[in-house]
Amino acid sequence: MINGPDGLTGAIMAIESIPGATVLLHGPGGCRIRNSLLSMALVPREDRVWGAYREPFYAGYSRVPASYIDGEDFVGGAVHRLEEALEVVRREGAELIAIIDSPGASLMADDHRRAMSDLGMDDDVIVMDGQTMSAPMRRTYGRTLGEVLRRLSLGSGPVRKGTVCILGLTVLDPCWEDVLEEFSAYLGDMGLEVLCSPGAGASVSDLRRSVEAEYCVTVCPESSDGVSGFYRDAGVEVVCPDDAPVGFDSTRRWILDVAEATGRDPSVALERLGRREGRARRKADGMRYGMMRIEGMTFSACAPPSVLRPLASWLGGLGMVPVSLIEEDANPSRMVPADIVFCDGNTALRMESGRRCRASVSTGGAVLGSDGFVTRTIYGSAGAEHILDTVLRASRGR
Amino acid sequence: MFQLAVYGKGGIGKSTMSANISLMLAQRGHRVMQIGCDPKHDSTRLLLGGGSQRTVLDYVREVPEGDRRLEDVMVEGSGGVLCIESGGPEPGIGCAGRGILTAFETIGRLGADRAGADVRLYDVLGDVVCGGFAVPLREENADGVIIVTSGEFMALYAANNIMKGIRRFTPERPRLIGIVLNSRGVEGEEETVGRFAAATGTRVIATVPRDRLFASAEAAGRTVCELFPGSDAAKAVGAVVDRIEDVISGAGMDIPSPLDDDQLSDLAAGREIRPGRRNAVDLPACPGCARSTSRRQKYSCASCGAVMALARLRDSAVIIHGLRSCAYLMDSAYLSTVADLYTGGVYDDPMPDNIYCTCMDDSAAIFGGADSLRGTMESAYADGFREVAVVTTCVSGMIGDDCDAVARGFRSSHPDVGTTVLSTDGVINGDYLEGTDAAVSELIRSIDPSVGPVPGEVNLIGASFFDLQCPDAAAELRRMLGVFGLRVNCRLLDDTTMGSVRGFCRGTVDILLNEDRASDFEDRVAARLGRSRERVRLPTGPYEYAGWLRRMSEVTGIPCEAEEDWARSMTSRFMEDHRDVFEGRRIVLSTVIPRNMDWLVDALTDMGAVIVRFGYAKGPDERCGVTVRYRDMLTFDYGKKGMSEDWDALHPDLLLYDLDIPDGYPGRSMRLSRIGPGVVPPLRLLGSISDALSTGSRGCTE
Repeated sequence: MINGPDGLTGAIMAIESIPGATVLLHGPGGCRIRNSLLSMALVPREDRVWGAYREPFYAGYSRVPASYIDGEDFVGGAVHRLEEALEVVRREGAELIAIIDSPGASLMADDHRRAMSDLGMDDDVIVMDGQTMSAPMRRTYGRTLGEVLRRLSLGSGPVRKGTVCILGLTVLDPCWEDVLEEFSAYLGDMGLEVLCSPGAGASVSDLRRSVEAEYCVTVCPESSDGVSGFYRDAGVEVVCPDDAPVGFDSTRRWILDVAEATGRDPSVALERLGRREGRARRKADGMRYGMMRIEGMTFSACAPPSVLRPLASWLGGLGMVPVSLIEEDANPSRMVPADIVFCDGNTALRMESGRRCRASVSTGGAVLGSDGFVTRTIYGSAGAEHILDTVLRASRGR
Repeated sequence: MFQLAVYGKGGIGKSTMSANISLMLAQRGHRVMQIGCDPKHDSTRLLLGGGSQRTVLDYVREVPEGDRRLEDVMVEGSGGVLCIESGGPEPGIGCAGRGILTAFETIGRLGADRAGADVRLYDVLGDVVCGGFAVPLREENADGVIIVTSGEFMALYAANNIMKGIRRFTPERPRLIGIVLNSRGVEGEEETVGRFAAATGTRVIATVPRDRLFASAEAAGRTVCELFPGSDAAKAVGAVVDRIEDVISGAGMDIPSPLDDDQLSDLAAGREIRPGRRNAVDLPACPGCARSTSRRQKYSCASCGAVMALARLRDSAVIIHGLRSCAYLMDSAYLSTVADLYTGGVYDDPMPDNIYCTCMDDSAAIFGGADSLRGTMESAYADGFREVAVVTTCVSGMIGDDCDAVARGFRSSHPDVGTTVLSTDGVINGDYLEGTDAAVSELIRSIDPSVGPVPGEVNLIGASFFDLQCPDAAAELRRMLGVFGLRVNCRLLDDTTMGSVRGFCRGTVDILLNEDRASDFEDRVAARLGRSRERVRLPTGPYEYAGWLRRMSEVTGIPCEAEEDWARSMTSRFMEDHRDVFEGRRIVLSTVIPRNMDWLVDALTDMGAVIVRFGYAKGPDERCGVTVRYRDMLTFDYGKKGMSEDWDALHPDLLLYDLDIPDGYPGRSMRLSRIGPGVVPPLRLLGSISDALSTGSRGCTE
């Protein structure tokens, strides 16, 4: 089975991607712990220490406190738990508290507003309504973020010329900070200053002034659903290339699309990309026989369409053979075994451990403890190098 | 926009009253939207000429989100009233309350607020039965509430509950417009309802006569107000609408004071209603949960524990009957503990791809998930699995899916399949350990007692195979068993098969792992079989190994002197080589993991080291598994604080720990990870301790 993250993790991590914000999960401990660990691992925060949070509702983990509802609460309701948890979470002093119901809790339909009202916190807490039950992770991530943006009191300063927000990147994308660095550099080469990246480390104050950006540019359109619409409504021009920048060619097209839409000169950015690509080509030439082994290798992928298209096209150009391409949000099914699989981190690990592939590339949904330290993204030149490296290593012994 | 909720007991005439109110409001110039919140979806029938319309929940099920439009679920009826029906599941399945929530969220997302209505009327099913049905009652959804009742006791009982709901949501805001008495012809009806209204602090705003014109209008699929505008019935509706318009214009509403049970009895008996002992709504929803922290918090769920256990059966598919998030979170937990074992050389076979999920979505939560469960079982069957275990989660448990019936149906069409249903229901039926226990119990129940022993086969039993899960440990175990020509039949519970569990009795002897829950499992096996089985504890360290060799020699009849000599000489050599490093060194041994450490205490002290503290993280109880022979040495509840204090007071040369030490611990320390059985891995561990004492570096065993 493809057991990647869904809307619950998407909604939680969208909030947790915002330094200064915290999720209060109204739900049982079982829905909390992995999400808590994910947040601690993926979003840099200086003040988060393992085991230091001994208060109830934190239970030793600093992120994603939960109301820890149980079987009795499912029958009797758990507003009282929510109130107590809110009191504790308030003491942490978060700039923004967002209550997210676990799927089970959403069946109880507890009245969150009553809890907030009883504590006099009506203006301090956002309740994230909406369905997370088996909903697509990326879509829920974007929508949750869009909802936060709509509820924040946003800056109303003048448009800051030459500034841009990067959309469509999530903290669940492998090595999202590296991706941000690379694409900020390309945009900088075009004379565009990155104001913030909503959903990828942007703070509450960053988000508030993000509407002053002249443009928004999108990395993965499927992850920016709900956010793009918000900025368009706010009058910010959103540049959304059809394909995500996967592989050298697609990254080049992404740079050109952004340059064209913003009226900027792409040459310096292309030069930067060209240097990385040239280096990769020289290495490939030096490994000529190794590279020849790649031809005929099979791959299967489960990813958003904007990733599948350039990925399939690029790998096809290298002589690899696609055996299965699954749209990430289609009904979950099985990955087809292949030499290389591209899918969420969990499924990738499962495919490798089951020896149903020679190697795998995670397209999102980090797996704790298996992420390592080197850049293993799929986006940009770093992503292209990682994919090439993985394919090449997997070709040994063919 | 003014939002109005019409509540009342099922069958009391809410929908008829709602349709008439909506029509008359429309006739008076209001733009009205009526939303039926009853799964039987007939609220707007009289506004649509007796016809029905597509419900929101059916629409949600059938149309992908991006293609949905409000016009598809909103129909203009008589008087231009905008009609919407939420719909819901068939009686007895799914969760109708969740359906109301979904319908609200959906029409909100489709832009119902922008449809131009200035009055929105919610016609809501019966009593306030759960949080979902109370959603229209919430402050943000209802500016005013009308309760429809008759003089019958159950109708008044329902009305009283609705008042409790209003008070619970808004204890201080007047929101009750009043009561509409829909006459049933019960004796003294008007007086009873009048007393009820007076006792609860509200008013009867209209008495609708029992009138055959209602039946005539319904037969024509129309409202009384439309067909018989001058009738008494229409006039009564007019009184209700007058009151609504007054309220819209700013007239006051009531804060109800619902009756307690004794007061309701008085009302039913026609007695004077006694003063209330306390306000009925001031009672907590659940007296047992006045402070949530007074109850044990469950940090994980029983479903996860069950899945983690059952997934170790490589020939069995585990179906999580729940959401994708359940599968993601449980699979993450599973992979983080197990995946490395398959890629790291512990097991010869690849990891089975045996965790399935029914991926229940909102629609399944409302309409029931039996179909998706059936479909997922078919998928597992198509993938070749002939053993299928279903584990239920919070959502499938809450909506009451009958998984046993699905499993029975599946077995009848696939007689070659074995099925198990574990109704763990997420956290509803326990936490992680309880889920694991339930799974193990289920497996033990499946042991076939008629199977006879097969010479040379043994079983391994333990709750955690942690110490065996590295290549060195696995190799040592193979070597140890090889001395007696033994092979493993069943690992209860590690990577194994359902076939080997059923054929558990093929094992001639049960080898219990070095932790305390292994005995529990073995006791349960004995209870299942009605007899004790030959059992041996897996040895750790040279002294235990010698005893194990002799015991296994007895059991198998195979001599072991050569192996004994080899182990003895290896141990002696090691001690001679390392004694000078250990002699007189002060060691703190701190453990969290409940595995027997007697062997380590023996080895360290025999080489001249001094154990200045043997700390255990938990408190003293009868089943302290970390030692059998050195209990008097133990310091209970020993943690990071104790380690820091001991550094200052005892100045140990080395701290041996297995999970955590204080940040910035200044002394030498070494983590005890997997230890492994027999002689070679423990001696290797002692070698690492020797290195740590020699070099002062921090280390870790694996």
